[in-house]
Amino acid sequence: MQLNSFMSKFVTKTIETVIGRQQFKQLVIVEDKVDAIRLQQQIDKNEVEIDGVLDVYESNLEDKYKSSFRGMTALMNRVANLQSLPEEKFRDITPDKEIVKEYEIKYQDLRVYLIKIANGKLILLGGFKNNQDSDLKKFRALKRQFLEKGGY
Amino acid sequence: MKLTREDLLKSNEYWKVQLQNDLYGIIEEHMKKNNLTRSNLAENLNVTKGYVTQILKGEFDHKISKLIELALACNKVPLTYYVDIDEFVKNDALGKVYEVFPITRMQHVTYESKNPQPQAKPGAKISFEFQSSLATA
Repeated sequence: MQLNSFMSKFVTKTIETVIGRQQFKQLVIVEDKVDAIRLQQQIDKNEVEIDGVLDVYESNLEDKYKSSFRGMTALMNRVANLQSLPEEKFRDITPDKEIVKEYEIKYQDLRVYLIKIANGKLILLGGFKNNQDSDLKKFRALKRQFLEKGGY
Repeated sequence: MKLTREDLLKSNEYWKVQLQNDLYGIIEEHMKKNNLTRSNLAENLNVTKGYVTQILKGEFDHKISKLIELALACNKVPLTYYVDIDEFVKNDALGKVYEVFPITRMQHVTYESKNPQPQAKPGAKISFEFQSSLATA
């Protein structure tokens, strides 16, 4: 179930399929009543299993997108390892005057939107080629809320 | 079912993305270094500009002979080596990565026995014993 992010708190979770020089994390949206600091500690110690935005995105994908998702994850690994990628695959989409950098990774019909965090990247949203405008609005709204709430 | 690191490393897509974007990397670097436009590069390689554009999108998916030609045109050799997949996955889990580096080629190798045989005295007869399954059959 996707929670309404306005009534939520945020924690982060490492993406286990992506290993590199940079940390690669995904946002986890939890109910407002949750003790987010404690939950974050439990996630970091692998004491709880909880789905993040990328996990939810993956599990909702139709079978025809599974191959693209593997390609997308391969691209994330290249980003995490600071390896060469064309702008068509990985691009900076930060609007003017925005301080925190925004990026898009794309593979075939799939899109992933992420921001720069200390030592790496944080995925806030997964989207689709035919829904870019609406996905970008959602992504920027999530980014604003995440930064306002300071992560926890 | 959720994608695991092992599934990813054993997938066609993972290796395709690596090869396509490594090739993009060397071509991009070559173009910058030599101040080449896409049109210049297409002309040098005797291919269309659209072909170059496809490679620069990280979407090369052509013949091996073309891959070699492109690498050589960028003054690179396309070193390829093959590693056992389970060993690769195991090493990945241990945080080990594979790198290519040169080592000195071995020449005139002399093998020394750790158990030297007694030297025969000059003029002594040397006899050998052979065992054959045919002899006892």
